[in-house]
Amino acid sequence: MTSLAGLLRVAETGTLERLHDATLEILKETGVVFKSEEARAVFKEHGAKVDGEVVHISKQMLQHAIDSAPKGFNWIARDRTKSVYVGNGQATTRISPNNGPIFVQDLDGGRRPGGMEDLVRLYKLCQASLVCDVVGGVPVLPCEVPDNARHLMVFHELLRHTDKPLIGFMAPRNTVMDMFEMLEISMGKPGRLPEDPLIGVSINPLSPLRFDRESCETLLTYARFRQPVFVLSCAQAGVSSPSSLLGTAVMQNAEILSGLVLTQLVNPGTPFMYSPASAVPNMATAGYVTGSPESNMINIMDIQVAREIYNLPCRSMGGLTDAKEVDCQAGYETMQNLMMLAMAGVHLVNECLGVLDSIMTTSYEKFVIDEEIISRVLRIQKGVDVCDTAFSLDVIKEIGQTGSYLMHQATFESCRKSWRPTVSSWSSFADWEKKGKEDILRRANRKWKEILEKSPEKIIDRTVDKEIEDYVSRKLK
Amino acid sequence: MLDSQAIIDILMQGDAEGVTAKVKSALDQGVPAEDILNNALIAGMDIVGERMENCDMFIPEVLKAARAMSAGLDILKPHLLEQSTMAKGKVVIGTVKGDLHDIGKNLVAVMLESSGLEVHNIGVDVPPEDFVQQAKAHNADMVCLSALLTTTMPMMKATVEAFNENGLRDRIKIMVGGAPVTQSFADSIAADGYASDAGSAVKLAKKLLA
Repeated sequence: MTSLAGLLRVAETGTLERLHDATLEILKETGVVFKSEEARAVFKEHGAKVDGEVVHISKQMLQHAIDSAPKGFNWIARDRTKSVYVGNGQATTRISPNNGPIFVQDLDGGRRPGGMEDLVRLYKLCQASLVCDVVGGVPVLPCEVPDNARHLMVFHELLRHTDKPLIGFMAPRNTVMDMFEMLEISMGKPGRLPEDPLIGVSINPLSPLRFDRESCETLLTYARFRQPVFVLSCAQAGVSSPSSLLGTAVMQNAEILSGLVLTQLVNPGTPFMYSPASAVPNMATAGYVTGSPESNMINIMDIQVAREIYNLPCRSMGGLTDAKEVDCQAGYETMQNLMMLAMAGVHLVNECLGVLDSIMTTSYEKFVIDEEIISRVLRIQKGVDVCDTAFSLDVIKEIGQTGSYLMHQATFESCRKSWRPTVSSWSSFADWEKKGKEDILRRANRKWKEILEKSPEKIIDRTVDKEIEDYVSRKLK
Repeated sequence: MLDSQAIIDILMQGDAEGVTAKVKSALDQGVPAEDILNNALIAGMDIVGERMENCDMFIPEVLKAARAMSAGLDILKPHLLEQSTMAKGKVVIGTVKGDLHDIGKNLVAVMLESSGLEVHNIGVDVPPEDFVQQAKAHNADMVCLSALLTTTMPMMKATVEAFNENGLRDRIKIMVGGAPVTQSFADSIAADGYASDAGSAVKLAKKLLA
């Protein structure tokens, strides 16, 4: 099989080289603001010119960082069989869930602020999912949990309900350290973290060309423990970046690369995922939207730069929609976004399990529908079997102009291997009518409930869970 | 005789030089500055506000029109009686502590100013005590709080409480906004109002300050 990933190229090599050169100019002359004094001290210590909060990065400093960052890494899971490789040579895109929504939505309860019960359900759905490779972030904010307790309580639930590779979330340094200790308790080994990439984190610059204090603290802490850092830019073309698609691609390249340099200065060899996720907003309102095909084109140019010039693992936001309901718009926008990125060869996508309303909402039904959309896209990425027997010359000659392939041994052997939908209807009309004319939302509703019914209550050892619970209680006193 | 429609047309095209020229000309002809302000500049921005809400004018076009209005207002200021600008209201607007996002907040500030309010944009990452201090210093009638991060929304509650503690709540209205903010959140922190975008912020401000 030959992977189709990377076949979609928005820009030719000459344009990518100019994009890189333009970025060098911005990094050297304009610079990037790092609001954290500690981050600026790291740059200064390694010879970067720092004016106030502005860090200027030279071509040499950047190239050292690109050279020292791993071209791929093994992301280790608590259940080692679920560990995944991410980076150069990867055949199909890895999938991760939503991070950031504050509402949930389903057919029964409608749209409502998310709670801890929803968060746990979503972690369980991710754990059970055959397409979700890494789990974490905060798929819905549990609104009833007090702010000062939220990080640790959410992280505890994550550890309880998944043994796949993890994604954390931005937090002040001490809270990140607490989460690291909780993770080490769950792995049964203090000091475990620096040995392997166990938990990645996504941090966001504040476009244009700035990193706030908490982003810096999170980046520095993860890098010191050699845990994967993803710098995800989400600039809005014409609002927080140039209105030109290429201009936004240049600016977000500068933002992401400046974050890369910081990780490699702090700890050379820290795994890094280059994460362009900017968007063309709705210019009528200057509001963020996720559905423009132009947004994907910006990010694919940067994904190309990452793959073809820097050879860095890359990540983007994939299964997005601005639809408020799980409707036709939700379907085509999600497929557009995911397919474009997958064909461009992105190594990891996030926000692709249940997004509605421009990432404000996670829908239970859409989670399940997105799983099918993802499985379609992954199957397409895998490509076609091109081995000698795939040409089927013997079989074609054998069957000739009469007979049926249906009874052939080859068909018998492969009939369960071809791609099948998990929620879409392939019934005949009559059959569909006879069974109650059910639409996809009803089927999806039934499916996510079935998955949750079959999910274990927790998948962590009782003693370990208690130890983490006691740790959290002590910290929250 | 004020040709308000001519000024409105030029303003809506975002032509700052054209607005300045026509305002100067109207003043030279003896039209009172207050008439030019209310019947041409603010009236023009009211139409811009409506078209913005209907998405007939896009935000960059709205901002250009606002800049043209502001250019005209600069010409009028020396000629305006102090009461005429103060009468409409004074606003302090900022993004709450811990949050550095400002694009939406700046748009609201521009639109409030274009509607005739005196607006003091105090920036981002503003702690509650600074909101109080600035509100006192500018004798504000209304304070507008913006947050884009759910993690900084609690600072809105803290800011409202700071105004309570300083005995200012009775005379200062508080409006909140930002992508994760909702009406029910605004109600839960006893804010006076919530607006989901710049257009509704202007309408609500007029209502609260009436």
